Parts: sequence; structure tokens; C-alpha cells
Amino acid sequence: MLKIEKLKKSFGNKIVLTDVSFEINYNEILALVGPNGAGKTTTINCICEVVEKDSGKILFENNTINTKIKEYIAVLPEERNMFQILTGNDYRKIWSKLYPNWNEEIFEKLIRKYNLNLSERIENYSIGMKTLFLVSLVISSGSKILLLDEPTQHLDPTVRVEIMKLIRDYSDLGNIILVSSHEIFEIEEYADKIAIIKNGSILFSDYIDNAKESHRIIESEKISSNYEIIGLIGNKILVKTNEDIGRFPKLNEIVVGYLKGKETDNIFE
Amino acid sequence: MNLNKLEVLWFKILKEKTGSLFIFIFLLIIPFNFFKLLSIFFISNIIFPSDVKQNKDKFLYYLPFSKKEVVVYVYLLLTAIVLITYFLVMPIVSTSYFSFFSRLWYLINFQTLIFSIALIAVSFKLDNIGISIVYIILDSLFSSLGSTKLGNTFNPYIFISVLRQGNKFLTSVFAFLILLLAIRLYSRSDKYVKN
Repeated sequence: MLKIEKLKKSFGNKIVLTDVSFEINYNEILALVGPNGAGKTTTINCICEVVEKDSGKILFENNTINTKIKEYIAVLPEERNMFQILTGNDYRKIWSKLYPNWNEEIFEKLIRKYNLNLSERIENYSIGMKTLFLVSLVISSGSKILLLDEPTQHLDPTVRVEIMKLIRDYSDLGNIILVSSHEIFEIEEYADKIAIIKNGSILFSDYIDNAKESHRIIESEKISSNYEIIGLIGNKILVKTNEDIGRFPKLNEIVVGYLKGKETDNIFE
Repeated sequence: MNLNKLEVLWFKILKEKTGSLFIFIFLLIIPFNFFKLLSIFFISNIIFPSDVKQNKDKFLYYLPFSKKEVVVYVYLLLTAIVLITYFLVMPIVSTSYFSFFSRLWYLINFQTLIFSIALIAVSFKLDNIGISIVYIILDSLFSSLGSTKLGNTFNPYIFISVLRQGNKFLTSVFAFLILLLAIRLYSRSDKYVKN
């Protein structure tokens, strides 16, 4: 299990993470969802020690992350330009030497499937090809934990579906996956859990099925003190309750409800 | 020490920097101190501190590297470059074993201090080349004052001066301490502010 407890991080006076906690078990994918600047990338960077956390705990199987454990963590970073000049073959050499469970067969299959030229410099790839290439590397790394920052960004719709399935299948092999994403419509396709992050803190975290069952969308006139009001979805209200009222929300409505809170969005009012 | 990691890091650095390092490695082969010092000065900066300045080192830490490991492996690469080029040419031109090893010791101290100062500079988001030049200028200034003889003009700094190296052993101890400080400061620096 990957467990994050009360993670805090600031850069100088800028507080980026104030309270980030969640857990991901084997065979599970957690989608970390939030607006730009919410702290998604910093959370990933803290887990893989690209930046040093200020406080809190990051535990894998109850051990703090160290360089030995990092051999079982593969990361798809937000910035796709990793190293200059290096070709696909150079990247393969680096990844295969650093990750003890590297799977050459899987890598070859992915490279063939997406027709990636390993003799070419990666910096010359299109942004979508860079994403595909880096996804191929992290999947082939055989790591127990994958940290994927916007893994479907810049991809064609059909390739997006394939990558989502690839991520799902990889998780089902007994691995732990954290995905940071803006794409609230597609995470439902492959994630098990959701963590909604805003201003550096997790507003809500649960299994997606539980999240849908424990919330309702109701008309504003039906509001009562029995429900915990989460946020406004257009003219309707997202509430947290187990009472059988209104209708079950879609996942994107839960995300929008938590992120918007009680702010109205009618600029003409 | 993990040889796989060492190999990967050396491979990555040498492949990325072949162009910029080539001319300085060539200069390093010339058996005159000026060229050697000039080359080591630039290689010590180009080999890693310049990457840190441009945040390019960040990508290494998405891989199973720690900051300490990276600095140690880069330092070893720098040392290897100095040693290999030295052993390639200097046995031919050296007049005695003493001068051969004495000059080598001087160069190793020099590279350690320049590399460490450059790394400290970028850890504070300062310009590594600029700070290294300032260090050389101040060092030449302070080491030119007084002497190592006890008395009114006694200047102990000369013992650890990077240019004069009045006592090579003390300079080595000083250089090693500065290297440890550089590793500590770099490991604790937070440069990747982007959220």
C-alpha cells in the first residue's frame, strides 16, 4: 500500500500543499483531480523525492521512500522533455539498467504498436509521441508504483482509450497507480478511487462507487438541514447524504461540486 | 556504490555534453598548467552545476537517484576525466615522480573546490560561472597577502588557497569539507517551484 499522510510543502512563502492524505492499495488506481496549481504535480514530486516534503509521511509498505524503493517507482513527469540529445535507444538503456523488473518484451510491443523510432532523438518527437514513449517506458519498467502526471494529455481520442486500458491492465497485475488528471470525464473509465485537491488540500477522497452512492443531486428548493451541502451544480445542489432523495450524481458533478463549493457562476446576477 | 547507476549517469552526461566537453578535454591534454586549470574550471561547471542552474537535473530524480548519489557520481566522472587526461600525457613530460604526483594533487584539489563552489552557487540560485570567477579573483587577492611564515605577515589562508595551495594536504581537507557542504546544500535546496 502507498500511504500519504498529512503531506505539507511550501516553496519559500508560497504554501503549495497544506494537507494531502490518501491511500492506494495494490490493484488500485487513484485519480488525483484538481484545477491548475492545486498541488497535483507537487504531490507527485514529493512522493518520488524530486522535492523534499516539509512534513507528513509518505509510506510504501510502511517504509519511507528511499533510493532502493525508488527502483520500484516509475514516473511520467508533467514535462515530457527529460534529457537532451538522447535517442529512444538511449532512454531504453537508461531505464532498463535502473529498473530491476524491466520488461523488454512489453517495451518492444509498445514501441511497435505506436511505431516509435528509437533511433530518433526524443526531443524531436511530437508532444503526443513523447507522452506515448514515456508511458511505454514506465509501463515496461515493471514498477510496483506508477506516478502518472496527465498520462492522456496531447493524445488522440483513440490512443487515449488504449492508454487508459493499458493503465487499467497494469494496475490489475497487482500494481499501485496514482494518476493526476484534469480529464474528469475520462478518469471514471479506469480509476477506482478519486481524490479531489484544491489549494493544496484534499477536499474529498473515496472509491468512485462509494462517492456516487454517498452523494445526491437535488433541486435547490428541496434543501434541508439534514444534508451536508457540498456545492452548486448549475441550478442544482450536490449534497452528501445516504437518504434516497434526488438523483445519484455523475462523477464529474461530484468533482465540480467539491471544487466550486457554494460559489454561484451566473455572472449576470 | 551502485555501478549500474554510475554507468547510466556517466553515459547520460557524456552523451549530452560531448560537444561542449570536447574542446575542454582537448585543452586538458595540453601539458601546461594554464590550459589545464582553464579546462578544469569550465568542465567542473559544465558537467553538472550548469544543469542545476537550468533545472535540468530535476529529471534525474524521477529516476531512482538521490541527490547525494548524483553529486558523488558526477564528481567521480570529473575526477576520472582529470586523471585519464593527466596520465595520458604527463608521464611523458614530467621530470620526476614528485612533480608528477604533486601537480596531479594540485589539479584534484582545484577541481574539487571549483566544482563545490559552483554547486553551492547554483544551490542558492546564483550564477555558477560568475561565482566561480569571483572565487578565483578573491582567492588570488587573499592568497597574495602576507606569507606562510609565522610573524606579522602570517596569512594562514595561503595554506588552503585554491590557486597557491600552500599546503596541499590542508587544501585537500578544506576542499573535501567544501564538497560535503555543497552536497548538503544542494540536497536541501528547493528549486522546482513550478506547481
